[in-house]
Amino acid sequence: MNEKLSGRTCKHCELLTIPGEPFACERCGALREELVDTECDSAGEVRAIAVVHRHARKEPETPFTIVEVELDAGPVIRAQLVGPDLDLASIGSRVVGTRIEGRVAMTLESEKRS
Amino acid sequence: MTRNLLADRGAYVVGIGLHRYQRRSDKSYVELGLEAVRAALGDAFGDPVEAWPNVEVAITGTALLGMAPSRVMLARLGASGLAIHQVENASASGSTAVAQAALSVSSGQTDVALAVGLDKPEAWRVAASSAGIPSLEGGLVAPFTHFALLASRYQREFGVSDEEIARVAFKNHRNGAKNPYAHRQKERTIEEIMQDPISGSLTRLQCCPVGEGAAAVVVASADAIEKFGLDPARCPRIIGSVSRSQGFLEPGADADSALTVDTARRVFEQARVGPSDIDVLEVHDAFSVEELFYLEAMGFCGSGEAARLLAEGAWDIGGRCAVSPSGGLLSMGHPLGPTGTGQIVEIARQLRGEAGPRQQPEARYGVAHMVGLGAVCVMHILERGQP
Repeated sequence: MNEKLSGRTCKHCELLTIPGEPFACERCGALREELVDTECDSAGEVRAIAVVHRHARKEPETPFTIVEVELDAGPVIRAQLVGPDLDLASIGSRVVGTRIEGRVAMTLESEKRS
Repeated sequence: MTRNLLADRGAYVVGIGLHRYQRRSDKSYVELGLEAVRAALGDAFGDPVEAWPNVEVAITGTALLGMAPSRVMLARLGASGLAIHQVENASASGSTAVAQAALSVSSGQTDVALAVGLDKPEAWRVAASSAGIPSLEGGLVAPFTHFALLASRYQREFGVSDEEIARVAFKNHRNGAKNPYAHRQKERTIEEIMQDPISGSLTRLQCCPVGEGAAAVVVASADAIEKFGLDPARCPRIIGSVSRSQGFLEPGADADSALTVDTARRVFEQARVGPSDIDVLEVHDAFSVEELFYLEAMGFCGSGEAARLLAEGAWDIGGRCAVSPSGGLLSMGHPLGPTGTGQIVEIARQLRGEAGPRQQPEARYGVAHMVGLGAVCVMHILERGQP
């Protein structure tokens, strides 16, 4: 149902990064060994949205929609918004993670079937 | 305690030159650069070839040209053996070249330094994209989409319409139409500007053209102004020069504005002036909405007020502060390396009172502001020359 997002949490300052920080903590400088793999719930709220009409690559086909989401778990992520009723999405919409061609994307929560 | 070298020995813009910003052509970067450098030397000293041995160091700001571009160009003025550096600082490369020239002169290391901004739109190779740092969206968020996302939040928060944002491009095209060095030299109607969507509310004419060109600035000491008999009234003084990079911010913070807030606070403090003193501003308007963000971040007005003030004419030539009188990145263009150096050219022209149909009346203080990928921010403040 609710796609889990994989990230890493810094043992020192508790900064959660998604995707997981590969080198060292950007807030406190803690080394990679101090960053712990973490699974994070993908539910959150749209805080910014843009319909993209031009894109350098062929995939995905334009127009497509990008959302910036504040996850309930804290981090802010950006991903493609997918699903049948994209026109209904706006700032404040509830969204949840899904997977499309191996990538993480978001979809409107109301459309998510259990 | 650090010293403010710009307040002590000082550094002055004594010569300015440009090669028009334009679409990519077959012209060699050597020819592009030499045209701007000769113009700047001629502007400062008269005969460029005669003046060339006076220049002790040259710094070329370029993002795309590759290794060692400068000597092959500058040797065509007569190889003088001067010190040569290249600086790469993304979109702020040309601003950083000016900052380094100002540092060289104000520190007393040299009396005459040359900053050149130069690029051709060759293949981009961005180090961070091969750094091995994963991204969730997988490259779907181009810079125009990044700013379209920020615009959507700003518009929601402050009730700003698509057309109010498009008016930035309307103003800047009107300014650029009067600039013979601009990439886009055509006035546009608001209807034309709002056609051809790219991402979110941003349309083609609200995104800057990236072409080729060159800009050059000769920076000199007060001693050099006297020694070479230059007219001090035509030599604006650099009173602020600050370079910063993005600090850590909590998730979701507005990183772009925060970086400009930090840089602006420091440069205004260094120059001992404030936003209300500024008559002309060249701002990083790569995308129309950025001009509004940065006006607010620099303290020219309160949060959410820039669009209303734009509509009232506050940022027009002749208004409270002329913003992007050159046409800005949107109309003058953004050939990367030249852009930041070219901003100093425009500010100096304005402070001399030589900007012709683009002249802001009685301009005394000017600010140049560039942001670069990474992110970095470089700002300069210039004061009119004293006769």
